[in-house]
Amino acid sequence: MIQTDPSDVEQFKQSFREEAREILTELESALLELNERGGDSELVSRIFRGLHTLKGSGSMFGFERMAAFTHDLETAFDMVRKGRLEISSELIDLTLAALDQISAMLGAEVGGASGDAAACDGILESVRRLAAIEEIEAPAGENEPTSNGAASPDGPVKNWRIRFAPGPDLMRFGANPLLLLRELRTLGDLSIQASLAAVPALAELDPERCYVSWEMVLTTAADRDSIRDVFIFVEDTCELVIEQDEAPTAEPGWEAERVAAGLEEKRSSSPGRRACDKPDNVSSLRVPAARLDQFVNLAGELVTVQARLSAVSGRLEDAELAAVSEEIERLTSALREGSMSMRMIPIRGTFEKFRRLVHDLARDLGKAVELKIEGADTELDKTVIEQLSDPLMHLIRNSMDHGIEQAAERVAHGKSPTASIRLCARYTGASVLISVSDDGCGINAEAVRVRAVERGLIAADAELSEAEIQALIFQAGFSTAREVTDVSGRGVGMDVVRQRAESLRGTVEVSSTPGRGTVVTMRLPLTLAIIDGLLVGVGDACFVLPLGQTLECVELTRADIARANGKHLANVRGELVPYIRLREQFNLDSHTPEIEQIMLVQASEGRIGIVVDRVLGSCQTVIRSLSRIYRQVQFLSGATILGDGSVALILDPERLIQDAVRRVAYVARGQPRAADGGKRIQAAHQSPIS
Amino acid sequence: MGNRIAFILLESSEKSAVGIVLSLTNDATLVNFDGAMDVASTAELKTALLDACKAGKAILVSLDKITDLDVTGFQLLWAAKREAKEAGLGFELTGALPEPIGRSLLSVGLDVQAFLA
Repeated sequence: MIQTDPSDVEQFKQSFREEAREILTELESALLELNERGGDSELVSRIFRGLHTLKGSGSMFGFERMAAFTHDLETAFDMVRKGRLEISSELIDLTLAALDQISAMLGAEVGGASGDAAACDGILESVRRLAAIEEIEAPAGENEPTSNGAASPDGPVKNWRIRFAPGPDLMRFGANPLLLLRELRTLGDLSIQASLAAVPALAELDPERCYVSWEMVLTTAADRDSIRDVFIFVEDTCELVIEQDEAPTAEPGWEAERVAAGLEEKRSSSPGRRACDKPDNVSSLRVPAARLDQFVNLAGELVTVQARLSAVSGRLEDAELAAVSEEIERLTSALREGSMSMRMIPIRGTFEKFRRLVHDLARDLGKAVELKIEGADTELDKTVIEQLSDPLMHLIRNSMDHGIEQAAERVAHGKSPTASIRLCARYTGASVLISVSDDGCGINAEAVRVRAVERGLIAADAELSEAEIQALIFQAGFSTAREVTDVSGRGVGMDVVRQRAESLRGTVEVSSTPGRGTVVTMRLPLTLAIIDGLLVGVGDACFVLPLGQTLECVELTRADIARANGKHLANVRGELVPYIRLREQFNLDSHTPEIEQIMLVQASEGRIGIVVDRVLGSCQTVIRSLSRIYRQVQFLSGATILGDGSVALILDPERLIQDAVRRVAYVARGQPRAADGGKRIQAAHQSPIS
Repeated sequence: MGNRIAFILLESSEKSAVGIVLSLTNDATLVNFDGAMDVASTAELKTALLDACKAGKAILVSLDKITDLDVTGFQLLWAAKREAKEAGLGFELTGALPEPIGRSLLSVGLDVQAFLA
């Protein structure tokens, strides 16, 4: 046996864990799809193969308990595949529950829960009970799964031309091609020819690599999937061609030449070829996320240093230095974009895992609900995607519990008894819109209003538009549910959605039509690491405004201020636009210039101006998180280091405006200002960057 | 057989429980292999076969004490045979390969007689 280093073993185990989790996700999707679509043989085969891989690989990497647990599930799906067991929602539910236990077992190896032994026993007992119904009809021993699934294949006998060329690392992974071929032989009559043509000169030969390839003709009643299952553990690391030979099966004997010719012809065309000759398999790498984060951070550091170089170059006015600086700027920009794109991952994985949630909730609530997914290939920064699960879960739970009616009620309102929840992602500029919509009963504005008054969120006589009333559901502690349920109704879910969206520098909106349904939309930035901003100055202080939210810049003169009678309103081409003075917001004491600049930003309240002394130009900046002391200042989304080494605070216009509105309201009511409103940035001795 | 110079390349090491003894005679280089000729031992066997080829004499590989022969061992012997032929040296398998091993290889298209004899 090959002796392996313990660290290699751990690496293999970790690799297996990651792959196993992917298989679990695929299995879950396939099971839920099978639940919706019924007897789809391709789906059943996929599930069987997934379970078979989990069992086999698990055993190979020392996850014996997991492998043993998976065995009976594999048996059950082998029986389904062979038509000896009917697929049922009970089997699907049991398998889904089993996947949860397998997931826990995988986690146990790294200190997580090891799965619930009693639950595992219960699941296995139920699976065996289901399978035993068929065991009565089937001869003893037939239910033992075989990796080929064709110990007694039925159906027409066919000739299959097979080419098998092991990949370079097959032997190192402990696989033995000879054992695979012997297993293949059990499927039927096998004519086989080995080729040693690829064996190199003795000095160049890698003794741990298999250079031999095989051309075969298999005469069997087994189908293509059954043949492929023999190679299930190695198919990603080898060349495997399985082609049905149309020639009559009556031709006995060795047909190596014809096989070889046929396979050679097939090799020149891509369909049916696997692994080694599939570009996808060799053009992607699995890289630990931490290493990628480190790379992105380093690229971010480089952006900062490059900004300093540009500043120095501008100051020295040296043409040669300026040329080098520009070249470095170009390369840094390309490197930054490249590193960012590496962290962009499709949202599919996050969306797909909600199929299970919808399935389980629908069962628990006794509702028929179909989950539709759109735009699953939309890519977002991995850090954004990682934080989306919670808010999406709350939105779906809320829709399932409050939005979607029982089937009878839906039918009474002329709707389909099966409700639908739609998860959708799409790009819009530098943002992504992620929406959760349902075709349920919609939000009862009057109930929301009454509840908001009860909770003291609004005054009893407050005049609010429909949209403003609907937006109240995002307030902390708000819930119209009179009883706290297991699913939702604690009044924390929607608040979490708003907070999470805002922490991601995004916004959340709700739109609802009574009787027709509700749409909750989150607008999120593509990435959190870097921001395209507009650098502005007030006195000696510099601030960054997100470019995406900035509309235009107009001048504000002393005369304009006088014309507005001191009110914070500017006349922009005939439209009165309210503005906030950053000088006042931050209590900056510096001299006010004759002409100030109003940066118009688009906020949910409409167009609002932010008044600064001067506009310094656009910049791409790496966002640094704020130190603890500044995190309570909600209208700051971070800070960045400028080329001259000074710090600029990155403003969150939406929060800034909300803060200003709140302060105006407090002042109007004669209450003290919000705690974070008057913070003097210059008075702080600590660096704002953590 | 004349003067024999024998040296042990590897014998029952911790890594693999195999022994390879290379013996030089006036006419031939003898490779005596004891154990499983598989992926765990082929690195040592390759070194032995390369040394045997460099000796410039006919190569005799004894199969008497082989307990297993996998595809890596098989292709190594085939490469050595090809190397020897190209160098104009003889290559011969001596002793009897245990019958189950030969039958097992034959079942997957690796015919010892056809490829290696």
